[in-house]
Amino acid sequence: MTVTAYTHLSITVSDLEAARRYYVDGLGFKQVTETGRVSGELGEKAAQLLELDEFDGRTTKLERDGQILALWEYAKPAPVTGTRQPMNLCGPSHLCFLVQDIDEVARTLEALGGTTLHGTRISTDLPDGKPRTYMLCLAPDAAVRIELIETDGLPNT
Amino acid sequence: MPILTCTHSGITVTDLARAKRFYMEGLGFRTAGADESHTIDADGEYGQLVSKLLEFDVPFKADIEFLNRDGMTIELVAYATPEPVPGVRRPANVCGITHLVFEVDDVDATAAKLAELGGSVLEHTKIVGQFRGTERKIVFCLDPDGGAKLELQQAL
Repeated sequence: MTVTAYTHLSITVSDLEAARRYYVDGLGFKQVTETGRVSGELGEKAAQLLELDEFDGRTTKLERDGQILALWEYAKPAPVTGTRQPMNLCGPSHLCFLVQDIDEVARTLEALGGTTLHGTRISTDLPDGKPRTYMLCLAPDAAVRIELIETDGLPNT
Repeated sequence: MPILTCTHSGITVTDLARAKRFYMEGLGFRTAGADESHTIDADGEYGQLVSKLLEFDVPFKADIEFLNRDGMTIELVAYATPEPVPGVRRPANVCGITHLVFEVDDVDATAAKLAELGGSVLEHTKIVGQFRGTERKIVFCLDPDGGAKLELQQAL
């Protein structure tokens, strides 16, 4: 029995093009597959897998720094725009990025349909004395938390 | 591009030791390094700061461990305060992060191993079909807290 690979993290979105722009133009991912559609007989199989009555949707994969995301846009059933779950709810909670200028990145992400949670901004000094600023944003659909950490270089974190 | 790197994806759990066994022995993750395991104490200044970051109204305390495999890193966060909330399986069409996907050489054996380690196997989701040009067997499982959905895929 072998798990041969962890292949990707899957994210449901309401608008594939908007989400692709957000992750590619805003967060530096690269699209690594053509957009494909799952429907018809294959959609029926996917519906069983996903515990749905029906399934028709499109998907594309993105990659950066070894992290691979599969974005899924649902046509049937209709996507349900998310609300952010509390961080202490068990399960996947967020994606984290190190950035050089947290405000510049947050503005870019807002222009691409995201939301900046300004009230979450904190700054602190690490044990090595380096300052660090953290802030959470939401991707389009207001469901995926994006943690931004401002740092002056690539550290061991 | 002002983004330096994508560092990890976070997963909330209730029991760090159990979650580590599940993700390491069941899914092949390795610790990212001894210095990556740490506790954030609610009594300290950092715990109070992090509480603001995470939108809690009580100080944050948790044990944290970073694991990686295949170039991807997950951050397991076991909450002490506020108390963790058991996982809820949301419909797949609800926007957000839905699941992690793994390639395996034996879906049934891997699923059985995950069940031994405290997970659940959603047998009714098991399918066999042509995906990406290959006949594949696929099933969904849940981690021990029921919050993280894990898709196991086997090329037949």
